[in-house]
Amino acid sequence: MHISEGILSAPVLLAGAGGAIAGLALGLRRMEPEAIPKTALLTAAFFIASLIHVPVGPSSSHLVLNGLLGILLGWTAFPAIFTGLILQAALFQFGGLTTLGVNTLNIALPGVLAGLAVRPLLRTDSPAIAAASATFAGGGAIVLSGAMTAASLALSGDSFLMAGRLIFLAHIPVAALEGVISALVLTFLLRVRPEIVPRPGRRTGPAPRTLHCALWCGLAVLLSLSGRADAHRVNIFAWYDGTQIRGEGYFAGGQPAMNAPVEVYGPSGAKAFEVTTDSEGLFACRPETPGEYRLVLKAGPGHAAETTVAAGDAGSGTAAGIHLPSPPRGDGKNDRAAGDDLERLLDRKLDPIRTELMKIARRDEGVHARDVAAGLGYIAGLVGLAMYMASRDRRRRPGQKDPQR
Amino acid sequence: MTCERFATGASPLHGADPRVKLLVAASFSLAIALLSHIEAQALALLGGAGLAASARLSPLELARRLGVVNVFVLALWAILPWTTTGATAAQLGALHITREGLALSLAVTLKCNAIVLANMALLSTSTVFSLAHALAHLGCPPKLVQLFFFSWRYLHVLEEEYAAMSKTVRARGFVPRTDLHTYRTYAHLFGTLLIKSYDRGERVYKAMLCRGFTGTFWLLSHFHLHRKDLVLAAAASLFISAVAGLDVLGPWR
Repeated sequence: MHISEGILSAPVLLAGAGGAIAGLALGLRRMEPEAIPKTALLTAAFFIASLIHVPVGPSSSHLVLNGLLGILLGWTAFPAIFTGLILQAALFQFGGLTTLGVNTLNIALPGVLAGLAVRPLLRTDSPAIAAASATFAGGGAIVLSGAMTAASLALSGDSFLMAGRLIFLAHIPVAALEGVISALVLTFLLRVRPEIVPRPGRRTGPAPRTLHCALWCGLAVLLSLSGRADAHRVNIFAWYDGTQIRGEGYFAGGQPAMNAPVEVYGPSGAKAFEVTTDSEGLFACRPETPGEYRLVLKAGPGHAAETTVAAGDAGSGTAAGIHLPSPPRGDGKNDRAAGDDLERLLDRKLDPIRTELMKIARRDEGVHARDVAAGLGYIAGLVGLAMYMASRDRRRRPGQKDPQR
Repeated sequence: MTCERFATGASPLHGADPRVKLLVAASFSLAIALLSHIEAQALALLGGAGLAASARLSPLELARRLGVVNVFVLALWAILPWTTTGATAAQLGALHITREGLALSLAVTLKCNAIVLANMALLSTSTVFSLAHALAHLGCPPKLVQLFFFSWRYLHVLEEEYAAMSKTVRARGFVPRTDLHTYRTYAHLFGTLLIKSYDRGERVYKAMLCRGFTGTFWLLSHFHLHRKDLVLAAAASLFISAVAGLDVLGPWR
């Protein structure tokens, strides 16, 4: 759940901080001065919940209950969770200062979304519906938190993709536990002190809230989807130079894929060769029959890339969508020697161009993940700004006093 | 809860202005978190250790807290070396341990420990109340500072209430297991705690109104910058720029 210091990249930290600030601004605006002590006491209670370890089979899990907090506090859950995280960072060194924004966003936003989504369902007095909606909110908030945590890791670097996946999977049993506990707590509260639970049936003006909800839902979906945006991490680039299939394997950052096996499948679909890339990621093989060859580069578990090359047909060297000029060949037997000379000459001339093209292809792919993160940061910032404006306009209604004064 | 174990002491860092310490801790954390070269990260860890040494923290408690943090780091060591793509450094069955993965794990370890050491030396040597006070002076939104202040003020009260309640349940023979009865008991304990805290929040607010509260927390005491605070700030900015400079302009570029 918590991401510690020193792992996330700058764009992810920035996007997290932007989103957290937007949520905090909205939450603080929603919190009337007379509600501050009450909110603080609930914050303290939820902090204590995070110290309670509940047994789950042979192990135990501490409570988060961000979905329940979302039901009880709405957007004010943002400042409440932020406060809890500062206390944890300052007191126990869990999380940290730089990751405060990301962690706040990853825990508070799912809680608020899940809480606000089920609030309309609490209008009825049926305990079954209350229990079901609390289960949904409590479990859903944890699943979404897990997805956002995994996405924050995956966006920080390809290396964290697997760690992110494992962390997401670890959230699933916790989500089940949280769903059950949230439902039990909420039905208890509704039975003993129903006035603690906000019931929107008695409130006015839910329309803009649904709008915000939709906006944030969109953002959350984007965040959780973007984890898959950079799944193609290793690339293969190959061409046919008239006699040989030559190529290069490299990672999204541009480093060569060294000592990686390349499987070459012939036109019939059967495996024709297996070659290994050298220390520069280069490889070559000599196809016997003309036709379409499929090349698969394997660089570790789950990291594979493939491409196809047409061999035996001069002038059709294609690689990764870039058409490289192949040296023309003489077709008459008498021109053979002259043709070979020309070929060698052209090879020499064309090599720098080929290198240049490959550099360009690599640069495009290296930028990709960072672009996604930066784009998400912009989206978070813009949505935050829009929400800030919207909440400010509503605050200016006549007859309402400025809480700051 | 004994959370503020480092807050009392006579070291130069204990006496420093909490505003300066907060700013130094924030900029140190941010700068270290973004370092990308192992040499600069190692230097940062030295800096963090130096800060922790000058704060004269109790070594036992320091080790305990570092141990907790490094449990997370160890989890990364278990995952990253074989999930990172790169040159194979060793092979364990079907798993390729890559050089890049090992380097990444080492980088995270260095950065994480550097930041945690610095934060313990800078933040944990102040009481939470003086940190809240410093946040207010640094222009943090007043509502957030009040929320922070009240949460900390009543955390211990609620903790005692929870401890008393769980003692009561245990006195009646409750043993935690993986079953619905256990979960219901915990849920009811926590629900009762929520109700108690809700009621206490209302009482606190009413008591504040009785004492003339109008929504503003007046800052009555003010911090004063002394020469040693300026020295701390200057030394910290020098160190941070040195580490960042080494990272950006170092000889390996």
